[in-house]
Amino acid sequence: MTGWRTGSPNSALSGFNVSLDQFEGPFDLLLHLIEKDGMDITSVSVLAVTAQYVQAVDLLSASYNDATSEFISLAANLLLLKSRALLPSTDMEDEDDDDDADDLAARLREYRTVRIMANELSQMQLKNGSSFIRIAEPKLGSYTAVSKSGTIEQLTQALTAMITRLNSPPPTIVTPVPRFNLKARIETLRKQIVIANDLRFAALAADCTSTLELVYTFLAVLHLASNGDIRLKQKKGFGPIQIESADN
Amino acid sequence: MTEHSSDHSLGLEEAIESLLFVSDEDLGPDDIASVLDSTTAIIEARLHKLQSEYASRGIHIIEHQGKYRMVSHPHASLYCRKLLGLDPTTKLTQASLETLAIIAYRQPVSRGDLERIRGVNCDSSLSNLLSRGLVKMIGRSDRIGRPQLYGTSPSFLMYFGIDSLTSLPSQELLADNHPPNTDI
Repeated sequence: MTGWRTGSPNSALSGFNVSLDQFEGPFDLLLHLIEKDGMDITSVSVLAVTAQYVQAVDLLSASYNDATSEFISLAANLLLLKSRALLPSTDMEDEDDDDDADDLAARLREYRTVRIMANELSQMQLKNGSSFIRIAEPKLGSYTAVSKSGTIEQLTQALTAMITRLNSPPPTIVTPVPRFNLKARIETLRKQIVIANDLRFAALAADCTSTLELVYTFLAVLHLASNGDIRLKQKKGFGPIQIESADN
Repeated sequence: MTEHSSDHSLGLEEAIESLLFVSDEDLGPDDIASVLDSTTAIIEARLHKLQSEYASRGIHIIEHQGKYRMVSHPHASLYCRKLLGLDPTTKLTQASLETLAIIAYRQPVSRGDLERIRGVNCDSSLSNLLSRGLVKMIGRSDRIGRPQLYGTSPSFLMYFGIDSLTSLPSQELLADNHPPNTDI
């Protein structure tokens, strides 16, 4: 509703500088026109300000939008009621007309009540402060424990071992990344396990010179385990992973 | 028994106060009565007594739809915000206030009721009120289409710093809604 800021000098609204932004809706505008003239809200007064209302809304036509349609809808309704009121009553519609104008007046009175209540709330929100609830202690939620057997000591050991590995000096000579063959790695590992019988994954990992080799080693271990060639055992959380030959 | 549950040194009102204090949910007289092994009527009477006693204290007991909770004194809101690190909330617009007024004074109301009374589309003001937690959906109407019905939430009382919906001003306007039309 940007196009309609002020009434034209000859409009019914020229007495007060007006924009539709000021009004919360068609009822607000209609109510304003009635109260401006100090009238009570009745079907008579509603129809009396029809011309002013239509004139006001007419100025909106330049900037039509969704909100405008609500103003225009009431204008159309008012014009219908007004025209019926002006015509001599000749048929059964007469009573309905009165009902309509009365109904509109009743709705306007209801809207006026709401506006008063809204003003009360507005005063309250400016004057009253707000209350707050006590910040309640959060209910104990569930958290995921990695292992029930894991202790602080074990976690610390695992962390220390990791830090030690990280601190070990990086290889000074950068060799080209060797191409690995998973099948070959599996076979090597199979033999290695048969010989050693009891092997720790950490030991295998320590032998790897690159991340890629470690990945291949890990895949080989998984492959052997899924084939049933080896058994993997971990007695406690974060504990060493034992690799045993399935033949035993 | 290690705890004094029905100890002679603990009065009923003290017990109710303790329950209201520790609860992180609103408590009804029935909730309290079942814990304290009393009757709803007795608890309700004590709650009203406590409510009026607390009116002069820094903690208030508010009642919304039969449920009670302890809240801070509304006049202390500035200090509470400071302590809790809360930004001042933006004030409600006229459109939101009108929509809220209809909901507060006429609840339960549907979206259609709001639009009929205000004569404008209320979607944005209603969603604003819902997102601020001042109103909530409280059920569905039996009318065609079973429209959702809205009512105030306890946060509504807290926002405006009042103890119950009966503390809303201009209650007499409700009865004065459709005055007989004598001007015709």
